Order: sequence, then C-alpha cells, then structure tokens
Amino acid sequence: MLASTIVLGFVLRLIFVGTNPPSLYWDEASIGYEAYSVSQTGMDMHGNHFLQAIFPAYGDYKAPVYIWLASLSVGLFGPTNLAVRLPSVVAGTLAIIGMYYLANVLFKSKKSGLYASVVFALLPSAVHFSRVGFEANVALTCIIWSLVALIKGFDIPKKYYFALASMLSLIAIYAYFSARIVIPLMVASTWVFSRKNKAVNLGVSIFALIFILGLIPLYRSPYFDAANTLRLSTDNITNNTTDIIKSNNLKAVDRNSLASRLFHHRYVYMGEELIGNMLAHFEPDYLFFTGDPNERHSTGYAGIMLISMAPLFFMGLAFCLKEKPRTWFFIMSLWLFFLVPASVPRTIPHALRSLNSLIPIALVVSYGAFKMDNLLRQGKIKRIVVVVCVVLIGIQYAVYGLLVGTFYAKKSAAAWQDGYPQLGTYVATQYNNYDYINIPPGDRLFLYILFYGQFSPSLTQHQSDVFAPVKIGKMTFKPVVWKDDVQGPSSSLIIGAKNDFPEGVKIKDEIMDSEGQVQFVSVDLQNL
Amino acid sequence: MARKSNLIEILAITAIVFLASVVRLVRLDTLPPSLYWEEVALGYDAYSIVETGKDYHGNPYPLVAFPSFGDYKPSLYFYITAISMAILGPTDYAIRLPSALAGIIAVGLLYLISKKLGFSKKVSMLASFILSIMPMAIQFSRAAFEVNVAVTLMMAGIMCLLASQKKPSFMIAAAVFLSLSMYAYHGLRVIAPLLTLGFYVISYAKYSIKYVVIGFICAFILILPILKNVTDIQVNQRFSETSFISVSTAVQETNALREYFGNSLLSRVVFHRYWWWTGEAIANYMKNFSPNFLFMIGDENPRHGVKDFGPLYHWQALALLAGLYGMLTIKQKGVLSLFVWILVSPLATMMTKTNPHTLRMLAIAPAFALLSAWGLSVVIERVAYKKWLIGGIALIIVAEACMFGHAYAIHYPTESAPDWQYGYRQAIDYVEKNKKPNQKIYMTRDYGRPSIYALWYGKYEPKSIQDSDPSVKKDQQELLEFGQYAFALTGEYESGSLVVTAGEKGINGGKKIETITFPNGQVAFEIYEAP
Repeated sequence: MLASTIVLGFVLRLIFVGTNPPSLYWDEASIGYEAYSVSQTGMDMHGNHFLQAIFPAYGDYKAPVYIWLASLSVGLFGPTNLAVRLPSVVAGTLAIIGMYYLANVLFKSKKSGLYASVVFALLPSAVHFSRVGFEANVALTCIIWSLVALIKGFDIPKKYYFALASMLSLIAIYAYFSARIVIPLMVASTWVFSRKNKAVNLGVSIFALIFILGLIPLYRSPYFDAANTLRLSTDNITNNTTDIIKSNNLKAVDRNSLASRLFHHRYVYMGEELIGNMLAHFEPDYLFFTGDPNERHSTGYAGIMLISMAPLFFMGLAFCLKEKPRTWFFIMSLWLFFLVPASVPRTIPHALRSLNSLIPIALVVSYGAFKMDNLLRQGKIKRIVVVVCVVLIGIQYAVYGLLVGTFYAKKSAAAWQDGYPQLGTYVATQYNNYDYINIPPGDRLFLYILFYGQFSPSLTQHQSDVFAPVKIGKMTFKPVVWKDDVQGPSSSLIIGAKNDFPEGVKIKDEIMDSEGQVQFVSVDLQNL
Repeated sequence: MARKSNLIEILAITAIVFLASVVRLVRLDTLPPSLYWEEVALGYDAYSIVETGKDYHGNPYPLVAFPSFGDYKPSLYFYITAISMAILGPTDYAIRLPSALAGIIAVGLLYLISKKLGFSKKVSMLASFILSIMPMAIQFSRAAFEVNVAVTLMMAGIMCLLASQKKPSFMIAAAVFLSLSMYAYHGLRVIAPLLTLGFYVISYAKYSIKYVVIGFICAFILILPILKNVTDIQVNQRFSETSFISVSTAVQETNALREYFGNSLLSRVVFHRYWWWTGEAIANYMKNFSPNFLFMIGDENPRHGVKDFGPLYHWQALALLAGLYGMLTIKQKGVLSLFVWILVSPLATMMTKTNPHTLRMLAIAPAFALLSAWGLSVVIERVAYKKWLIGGIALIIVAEACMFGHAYAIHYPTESAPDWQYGYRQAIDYVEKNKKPNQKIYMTRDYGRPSIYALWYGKYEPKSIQDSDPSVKKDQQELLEFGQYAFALTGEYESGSLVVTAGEKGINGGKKIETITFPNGQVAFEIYEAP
C-alpha cells in the first residue's frame, strides 16, 4: 500500500515535468546553470569552488544544497528542464515516505501514517511544488524527516536521533535559508509538547551543538552580509513606514498622551500586521479555491487543497482536538511557526515561503481521512456519506488534473518566461557565425542563454563579481537601439522584440514560445 | 435564599441592559458623525408617512417595500421610524432610535434565549454582557440599519419558539415575530425560515404538532404579501442587484472548457456552470468565517466597522476556540442549536457578490456572543487558579472594550466622515438659510443622492413633493430636481444662482461664499454664487 502510494506520488510529480510548468523560471535557470558549471568545472559560474555556503548566482545569493543536487542530475542528463527539476521531484517523493513516519510517530498508528502519505502524495500544492525546482521543497523534505527524528528522540531518548535531526535541519537550512527561522521554533514546540524525561536535556544539547557548529560556514561566508542585506530589503513590516505614520497620526489626535503613546505605539500595529499576515494563510480562497495569486506558486485551479477535501480537513481539525488535544496544539503551533517566514514580508499569502505549512495541513487532512475510515464501519448511512465524499474528491481531482494538464501551461506561460529557452537554443546555433550578437537584457535573459545554449562556464568565471553581465563572450546584453546598432560591425546579429526594428528591415529568424507566439526576432546586419 | 439570588439576577441583568443603553444612546445623532443616505431616505419617507400617509413618491402605505431611490427597501423600519418620529418629531435622533432600541432589547433577549436553551445563569449573563459591548452589535445599533431591527425581531421569534416548548400558545407569537423580521430586512427572508427549521428539527419532539401547524399557518398568512410579490420588483430587485451570478465568469469558463473537450455529453455534465456557481457560493460562505475578517480587520465598508477592529474583539478568537473545544468534548444542552445558528447566519450573504459582509450576517452576532461566553466558562471551569484567571480575563475584556470605545468615539468620526456623507447637512443648512426666493440652486452629485438630504434637512412638505413627483426628472427613483433645486452641475448656471460643488473643483468665474470641511480639515463642499 505504502509502496503504491510512493509510486503514485512519484508519477504525479514526474509526469510531463519538463513541459508543464512550460519553462524554467529564472531562479531555476540560475540553479541550472550553476549546476551545469559545477558539473563541468567544479566551480560555480563566478569561478568559486563549489563547496561554498552561499552561491552568489545572479546576485540573489543562493543556498548550495539544491545546486549540488542539481549538478548531479545535470551531469547525468545534461542541461534540461527535467534535470533541474529532478531533485525537487525526488525530494517530494521522499517527503511522502517522511509523512508516513511522521503521522505514525505523532498519532501512534500505522494506518494514520498511511493516510498521511496518501494525502501528501495527492495534495495539489505538494504535487505542484515538487514539479518545479524550488529549493524550499528540498528543505520541506528535510524538515519532515528532521521532525520524525526529533519526535522519536523525545519519545525514546536516544542521542543519535537528536544528532540525526540536527543534521537534517542543517541540510534544510543550506537548502533554503529561511529555514533557520522555523527550525528553532519547531524544536522549542516539540520540546514543550513532548513527554518530559531527563535524558532529553542532553539530547537537546547535542542538537544545539551540532546545529551551531553546522551554521559556522554560513556565517563566515564572504557573501553572508550581502545576502542578509538583500533579504531584509524586500518590502516587509519592519522596514515600511506606514505603521509609523499611522501611529503618529493617531497619537497626534490624542495630543500625545501617555496612554496614546502606549496603545497607538507602532509596535502594536506591526504586531497586528504580523498576525494579520499569518491569518491571511487561513483564508478559504487560499486554502481551498485559488491558492497563492502568484501563478508560479499555484495552478489557480485549487488552493493548498481541493474544496472537496474540506470535509476531511474540518473533520481532522475537530476530531484531533477532541481526541488528542495535545497533538492538536502541537500541530497548530507548527502551523503558525511555519507561517512566520511568509508573514514578515508584505507579499501575502505566500505559498512558497510558507511551504512547510503543508506538513500540518496534510496531517490534519489525513487525520480526517483516518476518522472517515472509522466511520465506514458504523452503519449504512455513514458508509454512504463516506463513499459520496470519496467519489466527490475523486471526480474533482480528475477534473483538476485535466485542467492542469491542458490549460495551466498555456495560462501561466508568461509567468514562466516562456520564449527565453527557445532563444537560448537559437543563440547557440548562431554563435559561431557572428562576431557580435546583441541580445536584450530581458528579465535575467542571460541565464537562459547560458543554460539552454550550453555555453561554457569559462565565459563568465573570470567575472567573479558581475551579477548582471553586459558582455559574455561575443554576446552583449543591452536593449536594441536600431540607429546605433545598424552602424556596428557587419558580422553582427541583432536580437530584439519585433517592434524594436523599423518597418522594412529584413527579419532573419523569428523565435517563438511554446504557444507559437513570436517573442523575439533576429536581424543579420550583412543581410538587410 | 432563592429570592435573594433572583434579586441579584434581576439587578445584574438590569445593569447590563443599562450599560447597553448608555453605549447605544449617548450622542446617537452625532456619532457616527452624520447620517448616511439610506438613513436619511428612511427618515424622509417616515416623515412623509407621518404627515400624509404616503411615501414621498405618493404611494399610500406601502406594504412590502418602499421604492425610495428605486432600491425597494423593506417596509418595517419606515413604520417604526414613523412612530418614533410621531413622538420625537422629525429629528436625526428619531431616525436612529429604533435601531438603538432594537440593540438594547437584543441584549435582554439574548439572556432569556440563552437560559431557555439550557445555559447557566452566569453564562447567559456573560453572553448578554458580551453582546452589549461587542463591536458589530454597537456598530449596527448606532445607525439606522434595518438589519438590526430584523435580527432583534428574529431573536424575539426564537425566544417565543423556545418558550412554546412549555407553553404551546407562544408559537403564535413566534410566527408573528419571525414573519415581521422578514419585513424588516431581505436577508432574514432566507435566514429566519432556515433557522426556525433548524431549531425545530433539533428538538422536534418538544413541540406540540397542533401549534406547529397553527404557527405555520399564521406565518404563511403574514408573509403572503411577500410571497405574492416574489416575482415583482419589490422583492426581487434586491436579489438581482446584489447576486454574485452577475459578476461570475462561470458561464464563459465552462463554455470554453466544453468547447475544448468537443461539447461531449460528459464534458457538459462535468463542466456545468452549476458546479462553478456551487463552488463560488461555498467560497463566499466560508469567507464570512475568515479569522482575519472576524477578529482583525472586518469588511471593507467603513460604515460596517472601526479600523483595526473586526466585527468581534480580538480576544473572542480564543474564547470561540474554547467554545468549539467545549462543543466537541462537553455535553451541554443548547450547544447544537447555537452551532446551527452560527452556520445558518451567513447563508443569505453567500449568494451576493460582496463577501465577507458584516451587515448581511449580523444575525450571527448573538450566537457569537453566547458561544464566547460559554467558551470562557469552559476554560474557567477547567483551570486551577480560578481567581487569577477570571481577573485576567476581565482585565483583557475591559481593556479592549475601552480601546474600542476610544477608537469609536475619538478616531472613527474623523476617519469615516466622508463615508457617512458628512457635510451634506451643513451644506443644506447653509443654503436653506441664505437662499433667496426664486434663486436657482445647483448641487453636485459627486457624493451621491443629494436630493434626499435637501428634502430632509430643508424639511420640505411631503405633500408638495408627492404632487410634483410624476413630472420631475429622476434617476431610477432618485429625484434630480425639485423646487429651486437642480442636482446636476452642467457648467451652465443661471446668473446669481447658488452652486454647491464637491471638493475644491470650483466653477468658472464664480464667487466663493462658503466652504464646508470634513472633520479632518479637507474640503467637502464649496458654495459659489454663479456669475
């Protein structure tokens, strides 16, 4: 049963993964090229040794684990969409097994473990995030396994469980940096809700020791400060002035009395905003209907789960609270803590930054399914109700799959930079025929050119501190300015959007996206 | 001993009702800062009824709905306001008073309902207290919201329904109150029957069949006018105006999907618009239970709540959670009815396009108050250090109530003034005082429905308005001219006429003679003399 669940989950994650989502997003393209560079040269695209805590990448300072994993698959399969996404697919599949053990240790029943793995294998958002090269998905898997080890460790105090949990946590952090916010919270919560015994203190000390030692390379990385500055610069509740202005206005009306300075303090409003942002992840639209408004984070045909799964979800919530209140509070505390990284920035709800909350959600749904299973044995009417529920879920799931399979790629093509990969392949075919190639900068288009064109990393490795290169080999990344460009050397290829060129200029080739829309055209200066 | 505790009970509930009255009646006419156009419309039609027995369009004693601006408002609030106006005269206070009184009565009724449902005296008293200070209850009691009266009538109906378990003849009173509630607000036409059905099914064995039939017949006769007009504009105008179906993209989506799959029979079943609509309705329904909405920010309409507060207090999130926990683990009489009450209340708003919507689900307020009270009692009974806990809870409740009161009385009037159409009264008062006979007055429609303010604050004789009604220009049923007034700024004005403009737009060559500002100092209106 578990084996077939794993196979089913793996197939759902793997099938058509190269073409749906239709193309690599720039983070994936960047990961892909770094991985390509590592697999070819043992160095990243900036010429740093691959064993580094932070990859500067295109200036967004990436975590290393996904790149290492991808370098294996890119090394094996070459630079393709599938190879970049494969680590995520595999991680998502391992997470199914992890969920089996997690529910098992949490609810103390094999059957609920089985349900948890089934739910996680099918959960629309879990499937979606495993079909894209999202680093957070690898972190999620590590966190699931780390939780299993941790709970086991608290249950039967064996030191090596703590050591294992600690190491898995470290992998999670090196896979996705924001995991360092949730892991201490997660450990604290597990500690509070576990049965107390003496050996635990030693275990927690071991965890903490390994954890802190493991973080040293990250904090000593030459890119650490730059990476932090970048992360803190996103629009979030601490660096935005609206709360301060609001607080000041209200205080002014109250003539700055002591009470008003206390109750209208900006921290009050920041706190409210933080809680409000967390609660945004409990909106029905987000949970059941359309999900994260970002088209890369949700297919738009389902929320975290399908609405037909809502009865399971609410049953799980109710029965877990009724029968295992302690576990319920533990799950809820995890849920809230996992939402923290998504709730400080202002883009909410955010399915990617709160990806770990799939763990508590899947646990709740699976507990509901587990209770439904019990209902099956309690008379005819209840049996009919259960069967109707299951049939509804089945039908909606089939329809959902159909919609994702037929419409999602088309609908979301623009969000996935469709057309860039085609250009990359095209440039590679033309590279040797020209001395100068002009390419518009686009949205980090150079990553796609390098990756899909399979250009040698040596072209960029000497530019160790250039994150948005203007010149790579014969290629120049700048917008088309026709009246200047036309004066250039005759062996030039100018690439741009169709309306960058005046009427009557002879178009050499048209580069189309997967829907057949012309995204770029090229002009050969020798052949106007 | 029993007498003594009865005395304490009576004293306590009197104190709570007194508190509710103070909270609802003080500064009623100026807090919220001004009357919204629906309130003024209610007021002027009520005035017209008192004076002439007809609404201002000239319809004698409308039974189901008043045409008003063409939105066909349910009739009951007009008649109750007519009574309060007959006593207090045509004032702003008289318009808002029925809603405030309904809010006060609801506090007392909740105590009785709670006891009848089987909750203890302490829980019932706490529930009343919570309702008396709950943000959504205060918000809708302090302005002329028809829904507030409707919900109180519904509560009276439920009280009588529960009382009929012991004295079956109360069933007739229940039928009367529940039917009346359907004349007060549209949403209750859905909620009241469903809630009654729910309460009946839960303890059907306790009701006398004979009186159930009698009650049903009574109710049927009483709502016959609504049923008779169900296809008429008087009843269905509201539905067609607010239904989410009109903004739904389900038809386009399903058609596209069917086409893609070759219009096969299966595709027409699977991609039927009804599935889509069901999904949208469920989504709408669930939005009304969104925690962010309930406890943090409320709905988007500034007339429905105070910034930084939801319809409920923040602490009620925990109290309601405790209530749900109690529901799952403790056998308590009446909890099931309460649960049904909560689930039924948003059923009317889920068919509309704006969700969540505090006003349309106001019927949920007493149920939330009661569940919060019971939730608190569940926690208090299960925890050691009772005194400290009770003290702590009391402190939190009082502190947040004070914060809400402060926000409502100090900051809300300034922040929400434009949403309450502040400035119309001041503008009309100025114009009425300074106009000359035969001088034309042009007034902007930028803030919406100016004519009703001119009618009300100018205290125009309803008789003359009724007489001129058939001949004047209208938008739907909103008057666009009467007497010296014309409600349109065309740019061409009779020389020497008064022109009331919105904001600081001004008119060509006009002489500014008066400026009316919002409480925050921004310009609401400017009055010019045309060149």
